[in-house]
Amino acid sequence: MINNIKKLIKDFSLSELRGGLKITAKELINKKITVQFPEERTPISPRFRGLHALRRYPNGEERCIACKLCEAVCPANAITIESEMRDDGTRRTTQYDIDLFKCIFCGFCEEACPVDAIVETQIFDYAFVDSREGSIIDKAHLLEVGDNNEQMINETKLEDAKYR
Amino acid sequence: MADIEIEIDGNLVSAKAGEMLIAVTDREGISVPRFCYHKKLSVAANCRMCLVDVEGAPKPQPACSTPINEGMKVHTNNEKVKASQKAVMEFLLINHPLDCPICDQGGECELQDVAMDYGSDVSRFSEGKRVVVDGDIGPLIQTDMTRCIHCTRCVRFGAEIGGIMEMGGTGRGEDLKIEPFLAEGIQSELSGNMIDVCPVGALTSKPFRYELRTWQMNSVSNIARHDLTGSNIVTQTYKGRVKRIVAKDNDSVNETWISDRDRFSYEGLAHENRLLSPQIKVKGEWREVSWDEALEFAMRGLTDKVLNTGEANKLGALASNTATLEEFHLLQKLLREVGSENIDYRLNIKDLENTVTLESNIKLAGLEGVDHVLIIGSNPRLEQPMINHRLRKASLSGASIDVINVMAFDFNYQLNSENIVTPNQIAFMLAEVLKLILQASNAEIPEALSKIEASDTAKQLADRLLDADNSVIILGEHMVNNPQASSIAQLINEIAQQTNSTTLNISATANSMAGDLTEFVPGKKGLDANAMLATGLKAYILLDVYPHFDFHHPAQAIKALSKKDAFVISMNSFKDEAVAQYSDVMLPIASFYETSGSHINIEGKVQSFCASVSAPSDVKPAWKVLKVLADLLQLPGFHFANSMQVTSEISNQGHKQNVSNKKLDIKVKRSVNVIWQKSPYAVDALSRHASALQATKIGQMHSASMNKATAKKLEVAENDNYLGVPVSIRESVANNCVFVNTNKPIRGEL
Amino acid sequence: MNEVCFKNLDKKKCYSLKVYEQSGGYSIWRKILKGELTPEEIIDELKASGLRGRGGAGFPTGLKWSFMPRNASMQKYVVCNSDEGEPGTCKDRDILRYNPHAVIEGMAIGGFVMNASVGYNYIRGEFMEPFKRFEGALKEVYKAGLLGKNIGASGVSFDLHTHLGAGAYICGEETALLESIEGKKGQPRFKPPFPANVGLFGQPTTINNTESFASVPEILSQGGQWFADIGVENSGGCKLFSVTGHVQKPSNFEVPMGIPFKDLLEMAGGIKKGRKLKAVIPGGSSTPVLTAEVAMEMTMDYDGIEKAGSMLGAGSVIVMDDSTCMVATLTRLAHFYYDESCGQCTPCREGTGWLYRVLKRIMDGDGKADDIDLLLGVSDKIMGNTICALGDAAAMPVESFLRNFRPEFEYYIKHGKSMVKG
Repeated sequence: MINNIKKLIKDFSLSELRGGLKITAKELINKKITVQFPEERTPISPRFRGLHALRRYPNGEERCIACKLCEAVCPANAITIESEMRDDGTRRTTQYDIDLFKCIFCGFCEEACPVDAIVETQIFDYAFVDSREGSIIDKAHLLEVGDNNEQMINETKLEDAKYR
Repeated sequence: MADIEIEIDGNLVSAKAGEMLIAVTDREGISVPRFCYHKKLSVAANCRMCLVDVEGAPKPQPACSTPINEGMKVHTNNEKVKASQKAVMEFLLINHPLDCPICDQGGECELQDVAMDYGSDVSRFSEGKRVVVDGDIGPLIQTDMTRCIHCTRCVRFGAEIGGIMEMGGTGRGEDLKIEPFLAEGIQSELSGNMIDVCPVGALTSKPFRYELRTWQMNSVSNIARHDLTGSNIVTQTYKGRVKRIVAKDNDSVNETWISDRDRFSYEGLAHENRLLSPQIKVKGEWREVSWDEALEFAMRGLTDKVLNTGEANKLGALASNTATLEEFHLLQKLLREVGSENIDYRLNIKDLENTVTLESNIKLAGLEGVDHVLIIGSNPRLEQPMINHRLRKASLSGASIDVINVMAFDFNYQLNSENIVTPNQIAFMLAEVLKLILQASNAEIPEALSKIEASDTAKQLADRLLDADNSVIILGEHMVNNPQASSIAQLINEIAQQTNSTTLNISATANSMAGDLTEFVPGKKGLDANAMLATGLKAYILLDVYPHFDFHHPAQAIKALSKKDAFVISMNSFKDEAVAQYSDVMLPIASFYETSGSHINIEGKVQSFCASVSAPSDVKPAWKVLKVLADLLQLPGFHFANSMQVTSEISNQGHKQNVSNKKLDIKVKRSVNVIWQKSPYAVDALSRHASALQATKIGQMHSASMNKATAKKLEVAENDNYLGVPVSIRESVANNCVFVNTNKPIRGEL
Repeated sequence: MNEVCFKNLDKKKCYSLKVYEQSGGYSIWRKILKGELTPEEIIDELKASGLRGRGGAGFPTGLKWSFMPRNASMQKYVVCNSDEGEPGTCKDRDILRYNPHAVIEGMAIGGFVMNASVGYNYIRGEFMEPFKRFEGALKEVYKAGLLGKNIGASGVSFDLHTHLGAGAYICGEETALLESIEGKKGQPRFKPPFPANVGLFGQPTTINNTESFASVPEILSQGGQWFADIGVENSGGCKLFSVTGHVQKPSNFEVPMGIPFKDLLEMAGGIKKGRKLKAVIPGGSSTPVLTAEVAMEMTMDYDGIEKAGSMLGAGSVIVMDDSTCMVATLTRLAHFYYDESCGQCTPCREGTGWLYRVLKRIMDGDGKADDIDLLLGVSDKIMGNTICALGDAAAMPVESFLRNFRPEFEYYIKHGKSMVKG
């Protein structure tokens, strides 16, 4: 009985509506937390594993030596490598494909790499297009990602190095 | 030797006195790490990795060089042992470049494996590492001597198995370098085995360099069909291609070794010259067509030309000796079903009435145990490398070896006597020997031999055959076209019977034994290869025939096959201009390792194999093609689902080589004899297309050797062309003999 | 002093056959040729003399000779090891120069005892003068009809060949020496089988040091007991000591076994003026180094030196005074073994180089605090794990130098320079 009366008073005094409006009013003047992606970005851990890249040495020589350890360790069989002896006698890849549909972004390839050639960058907003084939990124593309983001890769790896 | 008991890690183990400890632990499955020890090589005890603790010995003892004693107590796993082994491992690793990621041995490296157990994760070595500059040692073996751990397996292989010490250690201490002594590099016909014995990546396969990592490949057992051994191999495949071949252990066949030909010929499989699709000739133009169309065309050709006209006896089948047992069987069955017996695989014989028919009645392993060998007309080292290896073993354990050859060859063992005899005189010499042997046993001397005066050489040869308890007489390829071929075989047979010797006929190579077994020879009413070409048939089925290399008279054969009214079905794995010239249909067939089948080796051992890879593109195994062709011709008895069913149909009775009973001909003639011997790496189409093999010195053999007198008679000089082959004048060739050894077709007629 | 090998040292042309024969040389050999001595008698006499192998290992010679299967039908060989390469040793050179006939007679006797009709004397490659002397002596003997086949119709045959080495220390190791004579690369063989069973060209072979062979004729003519009495118990006879280093008169001394080191040092004229004895290597560079205090108390015989913590070795006494930097000395020794390792087995091939490089680094002032432990660790890992004794020989000095002079090494590592001035 007494509870019913309490409820009636609460309902007719619009206390819940007022409570809601109070929050609305407060948020009107508070700082906004919505991030305006892609103009704005949330911070990402240096350990974040995003799109892959193949790196080069400062002299422009590609790092990858076609040891195929990443291919062997990849739990999703996402990597395909073909190798040959380049004219200068070094061991190089002729094909380095990563199927991003298969990839589970575990980072094992990066761990396995003896020359720090394959890395996972912080890039996650890549879009691969219409077809199934479009999901496979090849050596040229991977090197391009590496070339374009060398500074970012360097910085994040350096930051993470402290904890390894 | 008596059995004794020793204690290993607290367990009693019985072993034979005098055995090395490591042989016992290996047999018992106790793991002892090692690098320099190899069961088929002598003990070097230099890597020090197999150190074990023997109770009573002050120092740890190397298991590989410690003979066992009764009551010996050994620990293979205690602290002391582990400390020694770890110490050695650390030493091995300080100067070893840790370039495993680019090393072709990575994944199958003994050092890598042992380092997982005994290595340390951090190196205490902070000094500079040793670097060795590599030289080029030939087209087959790639060296990275910085990786060498100086186990000397390759050195011992050369000295003990290869028979030439091509690799050796120069310098001392840290500067000890394993390298070939000569700038020409490695030239042995067994050199590829050094790759197998090398525990690290110092010696790796050059054609395979940087192609794949070992774990990417599938391993399929197979049989090498290049020679009479049928070496057991493992083909390593990747994405349907054979990428590398390594030896497979089989003590009764090839032990753990294979010849370079067996190891590197696979390269030919991927040659651009492969015949990849069926083609038919319409109005003189080649057209690529589907299998249906091609087989239909072939079937129609056969029916129109011979079958429907009731001229089945105008159909002939010729096959090269590399065909499988099943292919031989199906082709001859097809011919016999349609009523033709014109069947032959003996394409390189000048006179098929005069052949060297001789049984082989000794096992490969048995060759090791003989105490005397007489080789007639062969250079076994290059022609039958694994048979030669057994002979070398026999020689090392004391067998005396006599040779009657038309030219001096490099033997890799000590010869008792090397008799360089004019081809025309060999029959006479054997007759001398036979007469002496008959005289020794007071047997009746046949009339043909009665007038012979035996020479001293013959006396020595005869004496040794008579003295020996266990001798073998080997008849080689150089005698097949001797004018007195059948007499030579008869004489050998007679000598062998009189002296209780065994015989080994290595005159026909590859899978010829299967040709004999399946009766791939003319029947009673049939024509032999030469007769077929001479009379000119209306239709031919040719199985993997390359006329420039396979026929004794290439030009004549091509002319006969090119006749306008002859319908020729060619089944080939590789393109060939001459084949294209005379054929009407070309059917692409699977080459080695792409088909299932069987090989019969010299001791009659049938070794069946599966296809390691499927044939590329539109290429089909020949047995299937033959089966379908037979079906199209509506012949009964070709309901085979797989090649094994074919194998089981082949009776094991087979065809016995009956020694001819032609009249003995031992008259010495004065004519010049030409012996045409394909270079060892040109014996079949596959090896001819293997580029690395062709780049070797053996592969490049291309000369017509003769002595001065013969050259004068033939009016040629050094480097002139004789049969399209440059003349090389050397006095090591018998008189009246030209020995043509070439990797290219010859021009002109023999 | 100078009673056995150097008996004729003071005579003119002491190396000639005439002088040798005047002092009773070849009398034993002639007796053998006449059939007056049996192999058993000779072996008994040698056993009684207590003669032990003078090359370093100290194995009793009489016992060694008795191991040969003398009645087996195959060819047997006697080999003399004159490949004297141990740093600090120069005794065999002088024996070959001044008493070559004693070596020849000793070898011939050995050949008779072991029924070996062929002998080889392997002379160190650098020994051109001793080689010529020995060859000259050999010519004289052949001319005198004392060697050859069926000598003087006695039924005894002995041919002796000299073989000049090519300058490898490792060929002083007996099996490497055999390989070298066979024309192969000088690399030790693993044992067993021992040379007494499978030796030169696969036949039974006995290898002795030059000094051992040279002592045999004198022992046999004077009697084994006489020889044994010269020395002390367990170390019979006299021994050649090559005293080198910082002494006034470096020289070879043939003295009775058991002589106090003090006396030997005195014979060599004592330490250079104004200096103090710092360390002694008593048996050649492969034996452990001793400090001055220990050395001065030591007697020069097998047991005495072993008690002091080292080995008699080949009797080459290297004396070092207080101007010696032990780091530099060890580095030099390590370089020697690094250079002379044959490279056959892993621990020695890799380890000697490692030891040398670490020491070199210390010398260059780049030493690290844990280098001493590293050196000890590496030498410990070489020790006992190799085919021949070169590995041990390289490891032992490192261990003893560090044990006895550790502060000096620590100082060098810390300061980048030597503790010793000068």
